[in-house]
Parts: sequence; C-alpha cells; structure tokens
Amino acid sequence: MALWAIISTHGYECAAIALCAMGLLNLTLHGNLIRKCLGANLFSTAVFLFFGARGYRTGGEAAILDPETLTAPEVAVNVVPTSLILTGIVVSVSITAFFLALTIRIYERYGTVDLDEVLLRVAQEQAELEQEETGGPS
Amino acid sequence: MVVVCIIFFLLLAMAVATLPDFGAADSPTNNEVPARYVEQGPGETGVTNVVTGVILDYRAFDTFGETAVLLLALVAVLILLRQSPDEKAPVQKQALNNPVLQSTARLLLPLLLLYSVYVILNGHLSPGGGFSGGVILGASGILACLAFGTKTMHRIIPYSRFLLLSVAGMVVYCLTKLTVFLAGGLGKPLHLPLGELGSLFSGGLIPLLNLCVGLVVGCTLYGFFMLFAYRDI
Repeated sequence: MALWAIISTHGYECAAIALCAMGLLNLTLHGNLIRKCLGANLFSTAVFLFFGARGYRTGGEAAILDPETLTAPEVAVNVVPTSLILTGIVVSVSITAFFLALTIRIYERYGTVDLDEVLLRVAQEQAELEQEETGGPS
Repeated sequence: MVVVCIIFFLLLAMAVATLPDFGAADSPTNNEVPARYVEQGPGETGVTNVVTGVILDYRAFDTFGETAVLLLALVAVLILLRQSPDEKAPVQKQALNNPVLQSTARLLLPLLLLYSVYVILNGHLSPGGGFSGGVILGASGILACLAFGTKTMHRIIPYSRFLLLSVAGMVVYCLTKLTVFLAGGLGKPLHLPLGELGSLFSGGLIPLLNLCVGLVVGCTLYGFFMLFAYRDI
C-alpha cells in the first residue's frame, strides 16, 4: 500500500503530521477551551518534531566539538532547525500559559469552559443591559 | 471530526511522500548554511557548542525577542491571575508537611541548584545552556515550594525580589547586546577577547547571555507554577 510505504520511509514526519492533524482539529473544531489549549500545544509539538526530523542526517552527531581534540564531528546534524526549535519551544510554553490563565478567568466569570456556552451568556448579559438602559429612564 | 482528521492527515501524507528521504545527506536543507556554521562558528564565536553560538551570537536578536515573549507571558499571567492580599481565594495555603518530601527536598535542593548553575555556565561547551538550565532552576523552586509551603517561599523570594530577578535578567541581556549592536552599527565593531576555545571562560559575552536567559526562564517557570497553583507569588 502506498500509505504504508510513506510511513515506513518517513516515520517521524508521519508521526508529526498525525499530531498536527489532531492538534489543529482540536484547536479549531472543539468548543472546550482547555481542549483548544491542548490542541494548540500539540500542534506546536508536531511542528518541532517535523523540523527536528528534517534536520537529521544519517549517522549525524550533535554539532559540538570534541572537548579534547577540538574538531567538529564528521557528519553533524543540521544546526539551523535545532536552533529554531530551541527558540520555538519557549514561545509555545508562553502561549500555553497565557491561554490557560485566560481560561481560568473566563471560568470564574461565566462558570463554564465551553466556548458556545460562554458566547450565549455574553449575549444574554448584553441583552439584559440593553433592556435596563431602554427601560431605566422612562 | 475523526473523518476530517483522517482526510487532513492523508492530504499531508501526500505532501510528505514528495520529501527527500529521512536523514538523506543530499537533502536541500543541508546546504552551505549549516556547513558554514559548523566550520566557521567555533572560530568566530569562540564556543565549542555550535548551536549555542548560533542562538546567542549569530541570532542573538531572535533569542532576545523570545526571552521578551517569555517575560511578557509572565506579566500577562501575573495580571490575569494574581490576587491582591485582601481578596485571597480559598486556595489551600499550608505546606503539605510531608516529612519524606521535606527531607528528600533538603537533600536534593542544593544538588539541583548546583546542577542548574553547571548546565547554564557550561552551555557554550556542552549540551545545555540558558534554557535547559533555567528549567532546572525553576523546577528546584517548585520543589522547594511543594515541600516547605508558600510562606517559607515568600520569605526567601518575596514578590519584589522575584520581579527584580526576572527583569534584571532581561535588562542585562538587552543592554549587553545593545552595546554590541550599536558598536557594530556605528562602524566600530567590538572585538571582544574570545578566550581559549573549550575553556570555561571563553566565547566573549555568551556565558553572560546564557546566565541572563537562564534567570528569566527559571523565574518565569517558578512564577507560572506559583500563579496557577496558589494565585499568588
């Protein structure tokens, strides 16, 4: 089967795109805010895995000089994805923390973490406010 | 939902099938850029860990930006979650008072702190650096808080000192790199002594920058834990 051939030659990339599909769909199609947050985190993890896998070279070592002879390894893995991912992880952590903090505040205000429910309650509160404004002065 | 997920996966799998083989040496990503970093990097930056040289020298501005992102996330979480002393939430404040945890923490904490400093200061020679060392630093703070309770932690690291530490890391990084950028921009690039390749004090500014990044990362992780678990810091 064609799919099996792809998985056997590009195992890490396939794992990355599976994580990517799960993450992106949890992020976009689910109403639960905590699930959205997990989806975003999973999505970024998938990107890191994909980059790391693409940077690998067969038989490659980490690009660190030997401490005694001070020579570079003969085959070094690509350093550009490594450096990019190192910085990307931090941004992913920051976004997750900010997202979760917002979720806690939304839960405290509306008593639910479901996005549709939250939007419904916002609309309700606004309607009540408008009623008070139009009914108040007369 | 599951069907959409599978269709999306299959579409991406078709794209993956056209990529060069995993680990292929002739893949287009293995061009002259990584080769130059590995060949010239140690000579130009004075560090043996090429990745550290890339993130704290060639791409130092990028690292500055993401350290700022981390600090910004800490500030945002502080604004969202920190409660003023008069509206304390009914979160459990007392320590777990678990003797096993406390004696283990007493044993482990000095070692953890020592190891985090080791990882940060050796970031330019071995795997590690500001990010991983900072995470160990933050984890040791979290362990101390779990074992001895928030009251003890407030005495050791009050809010003002916590803010001072995290902002100091950022400001020192900013000022150090600003001098370098300004000197380069004015046409008089600084030629700092790089030291002997492979020794602890080498690489010019890189150990200092690693220390700053480690401080910010450690403070941020500890702050995230305190804010999410106790709504206070």
